[in-house]
Amino acid sequence: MNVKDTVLKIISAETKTPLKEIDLKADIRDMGVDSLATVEIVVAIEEQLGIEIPEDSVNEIIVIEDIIEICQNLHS
Amino acid sequence: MQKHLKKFGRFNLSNNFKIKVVQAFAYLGAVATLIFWWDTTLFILAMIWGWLLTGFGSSMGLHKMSAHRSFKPKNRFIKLFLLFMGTIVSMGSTIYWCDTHRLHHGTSDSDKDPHPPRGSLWNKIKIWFYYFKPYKIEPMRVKDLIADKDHMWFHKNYYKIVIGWIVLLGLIDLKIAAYFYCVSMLYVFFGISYITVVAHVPKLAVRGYRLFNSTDYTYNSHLFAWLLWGEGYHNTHHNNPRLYNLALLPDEFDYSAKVIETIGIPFEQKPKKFDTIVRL
Repeated sequence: MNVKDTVLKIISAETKTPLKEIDLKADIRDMGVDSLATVEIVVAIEEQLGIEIPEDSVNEIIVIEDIIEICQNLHS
Repeated sequence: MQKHLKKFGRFNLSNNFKIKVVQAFAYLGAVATLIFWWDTTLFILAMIWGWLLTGFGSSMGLHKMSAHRSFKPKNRFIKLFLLFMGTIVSMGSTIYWCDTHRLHHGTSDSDKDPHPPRGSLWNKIKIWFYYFKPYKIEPMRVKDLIADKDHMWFHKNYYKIVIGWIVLLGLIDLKIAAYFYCVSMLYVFFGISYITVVAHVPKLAVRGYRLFNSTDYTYNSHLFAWLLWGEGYHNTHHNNPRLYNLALLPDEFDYSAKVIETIGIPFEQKPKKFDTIVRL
């Protein structure tokens, strides 16, 4: 499974949104993801991908695409 | 439209407000119980239970195990027990409470402190009852706890556990619930409020002393160390947040350390060298 699929699967589980309905341009707050849930997602991604996402990057997350981009950069 | 509905669906009373409602219930319930339903035996037992809750819930569960990671519980059963006790003391989940507490440690008695007991008596009273000015909750500060599934479970089920506990006591007997939730909470809340307010105001010290000449106003107190499981050595704690045993002088005694050595694996005890004893 690639980075994008892993991230989307985690977000889908966290937000209880079907994978197909996730809009990459959606603001994560509009999906019910508050600051605590963001860190929950970050922790799950770190565990799955074996990466560490810096705090500055976490603060920059606005849309789902941001998370995928950060993870792809760190993973590569 | 769907976006607005989603936003509306998220509308909720703030976590902070709900915690205050539970605390107000405990306070008012305790006052009403003591006035209208006095029972000397139950009062003494409730104070003993409050002392145990202070030790295993506030001091070991919330403070030393979760906020400062001063020790690791020896097994998961002990960890769950401490998390349960830390939940029923009604100060918010470990994740919520530790976020505030870690912020406090980094900013103690400064303008950025979430609860600086400075200024007027009214301000001190507000902080005594945990009425803090707004501050930013920063979950990254408690990332280690969010990564821990047990902490997250207790966080997500916080109100169910607290209300379930009160209901369970009430099903046994309403008087039992009144004394062993509300009245015992007086001891717990007094302990935390003492540390939050009085232990930071040297003018209020009764035979207090400082070992570390730090920029905050914390001080140590033998009396409150005895009443609050060693937490009364607050100046020592602020200067050595990871110590599980806060007794550094021959005449200091932190009995919680003995319990921690029994139920947990303490973090290495390496206290800083203190400056000099300054009596207040």
